[in-house]
Amino acid sequence: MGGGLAGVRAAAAEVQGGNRVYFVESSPGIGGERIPRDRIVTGDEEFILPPLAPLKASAHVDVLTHTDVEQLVQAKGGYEVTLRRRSSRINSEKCDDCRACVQVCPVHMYDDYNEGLEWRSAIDFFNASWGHVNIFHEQMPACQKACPIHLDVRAYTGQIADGRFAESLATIRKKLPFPLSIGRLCPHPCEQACNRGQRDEPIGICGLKRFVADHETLRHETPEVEPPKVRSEQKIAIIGAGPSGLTCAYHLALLGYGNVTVFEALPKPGGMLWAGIPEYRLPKAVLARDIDFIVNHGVKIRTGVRVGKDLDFETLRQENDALLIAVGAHQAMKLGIKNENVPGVIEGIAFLRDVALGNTVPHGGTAVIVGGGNVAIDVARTCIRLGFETVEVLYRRTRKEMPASPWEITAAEAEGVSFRFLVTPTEVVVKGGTVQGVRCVEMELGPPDESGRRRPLPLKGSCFTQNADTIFTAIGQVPDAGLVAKTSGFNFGPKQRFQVNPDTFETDVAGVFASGDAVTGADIAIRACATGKAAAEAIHRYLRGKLQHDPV
Amino acid sequence: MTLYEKKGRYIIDFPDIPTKRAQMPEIPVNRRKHNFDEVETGFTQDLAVSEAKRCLGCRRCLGCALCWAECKPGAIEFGRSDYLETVNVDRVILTPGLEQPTRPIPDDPTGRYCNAITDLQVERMLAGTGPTSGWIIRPYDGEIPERIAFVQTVIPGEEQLSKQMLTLGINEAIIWKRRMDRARLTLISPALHILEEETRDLPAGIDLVKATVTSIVETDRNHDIEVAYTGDDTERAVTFGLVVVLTEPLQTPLVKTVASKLGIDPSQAEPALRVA
Repeated sequence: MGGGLAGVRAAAAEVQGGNRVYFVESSPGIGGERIPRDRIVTGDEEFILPPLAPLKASAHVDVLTHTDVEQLVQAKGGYEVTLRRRSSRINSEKCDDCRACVQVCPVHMYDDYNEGLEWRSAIDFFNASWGHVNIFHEQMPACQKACPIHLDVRAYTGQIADGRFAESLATIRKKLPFPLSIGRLCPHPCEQACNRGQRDEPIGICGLKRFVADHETLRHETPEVEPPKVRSEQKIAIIGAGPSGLTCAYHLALLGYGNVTVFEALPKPGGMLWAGIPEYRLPKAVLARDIDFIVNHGVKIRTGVRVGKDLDFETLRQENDALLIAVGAHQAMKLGIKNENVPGVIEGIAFLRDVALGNTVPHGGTAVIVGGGNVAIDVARTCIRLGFETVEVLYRRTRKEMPASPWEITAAEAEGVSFRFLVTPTEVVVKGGTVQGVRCVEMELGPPDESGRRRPLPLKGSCFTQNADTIFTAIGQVPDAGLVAKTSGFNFGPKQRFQVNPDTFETDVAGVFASGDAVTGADIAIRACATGKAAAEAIHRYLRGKLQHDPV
Repeated sequence: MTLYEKKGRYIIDFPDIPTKRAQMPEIPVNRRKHNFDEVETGFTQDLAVSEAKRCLGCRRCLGCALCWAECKPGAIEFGRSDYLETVNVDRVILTPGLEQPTRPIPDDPTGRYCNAITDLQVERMLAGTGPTSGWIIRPYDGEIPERIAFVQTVIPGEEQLSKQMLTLGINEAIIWKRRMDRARLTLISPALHILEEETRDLPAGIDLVKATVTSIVETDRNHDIEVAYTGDDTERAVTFGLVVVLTEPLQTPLVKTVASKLGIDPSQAEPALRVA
């Protein structure tokens, strides 16, 4: 595996030893001249040339270029290797090596075979002796590939560069109906993948998305919407008006479904975007604009209706042709320590929801937040704004392992939040019914656990008490499966996640689909949107099939 | 072995495109207490347009089908798809090669100044199958440079690595000198003592300077580059027509992924055949 100089030598040695060789290389060609790196050259010595002749001469070697190792397992005393033979898009039996294709190809890409000293076209023609001419084709650029909903970043960025802002926004909205919101809070995996980051710094893709969305707000009072033509009267109910449910509703509307209703338990739509993301990151008025855009496509939203309580799930299922469960993950996980249920201990996610609802919340003294994710940071920065004098975040690993976005951590620090790493609470200290503080133990990092992060282990005899008036827990959320009866036939994965067919997003109950955090567990908003879009396409396929079997 | 995602890529700087990414404007920290005003205020139009212009528009084949129209034998078949194949083998030999990012040096000049290149680029230029048929030219004007510097930085305790990096640099200088006799080559490195014995009889015109590079700046004249360095008792700044940065070899991700699939520790793997 690996077709450089060392690979050619190893393959040649094996062939000469009488062995059968599969020689695998990911790029379209093998070989390469190298200057020695282990001795100073003397005499006429210059380059070491790869010994290609024995490979050409032998019938016992398969040179498999443009091939990746897909799987490698031990079997029968040896190994079973599954290889992906990538398509070259050129039929080597017909190719006469005239290279006219190379001359007309308009793509000028970085020539990685010559260390970028030249540009090359998207067609490689070398190693013609093995017939491996190849068109280098990618399904999508790195940024688009990294984006869960595969936004065409290259297109909308280019449109901004050309000053075509409305077109840019339309490109985004082909897939994503939340440009204002996602443009503000996305942790942008696209930017981590951006090729420009290898040279200087990645493109500020997320900020650009926000810019075109804001640009429309400045020019038009309401987003311009042309309502899609209704093609089907089939009834669809969506439970949960969060990013996943609403993206699904939006795409169903675009597909021509005129009878889509979204049920939301909270008084306002938006799900976690409304109840979990604080105002200083995503103003409610901005979110409302994204939701107006979706509603203007003919989607109906009924707020204040909790399915399973105000409305029976089974009734809903029978009244609709298809159903989507997109209830998110709003149920906080418990610390599992003594005195956790006294009034001064508050679930971080419930606290953020209360702030959004305008309910009375604690707002003074010392706040201690347990956890290291973005919810913990949102709670901490909200506490600063509410007037807590001291705000401290406790996390059981180090800063490096924190799941929160690094820029959020930096911003929290700048605003006065302090962090204490490698500590875990063991007991809430209570006196006369009120919280006095939290008893903690110091940790050290041991070997990695199944998540790949190093597992924190308690240090013996390192107990201390941290004073606190209010303690917030933010160690993760799980879906609330309370809306469906235990006997209803649904199956659940770890942490109460709804189990679905990964291709169709269908649950184990016919006609009932699920998407978003309810399926993935607490994850980023853009992934919830992506699964919502995929669910819409799956529901469409399902309903088309239903129509054929069971015409109205 | 992800050949298409190599580090250290060379991208031409256009003057109207900033190299730094746009910073998101924010309200000051002291205005964030007792209110929930939005912290980030968004790019201005000018900032957004200049940021969008930084996009490289990465894409390889666009499916334009010009080649398809041009191909007389009709060999181009866009519809061909990948397929999987399983083989049974007794042994697996990993020869993934090395990925070679530049070791950080003060004011890393590669990619910033057109006449600063890496040792790997020199290797390609010296190669007979390379883009310049064995000649070394300055990327800026295609001239054959006469004053050349090789620069290296060294992390203490990595003697073997430094030795390998330096050996390549010295070998390149020797081959260079054979081809282009007027060249004057200077190797600047704090670790030259590692190769003291092997480098006693270097050809005239190759100078070794045991020193640490402190700055690398492009001069106004002709895109030459000034290298400043400090040694035991020297402190100098010299102007060169071309600067070569010695890069540090690193393992490619292939080793890690294959090794983890097999459950082996790649550092324990038996080095059956070493790359010369």
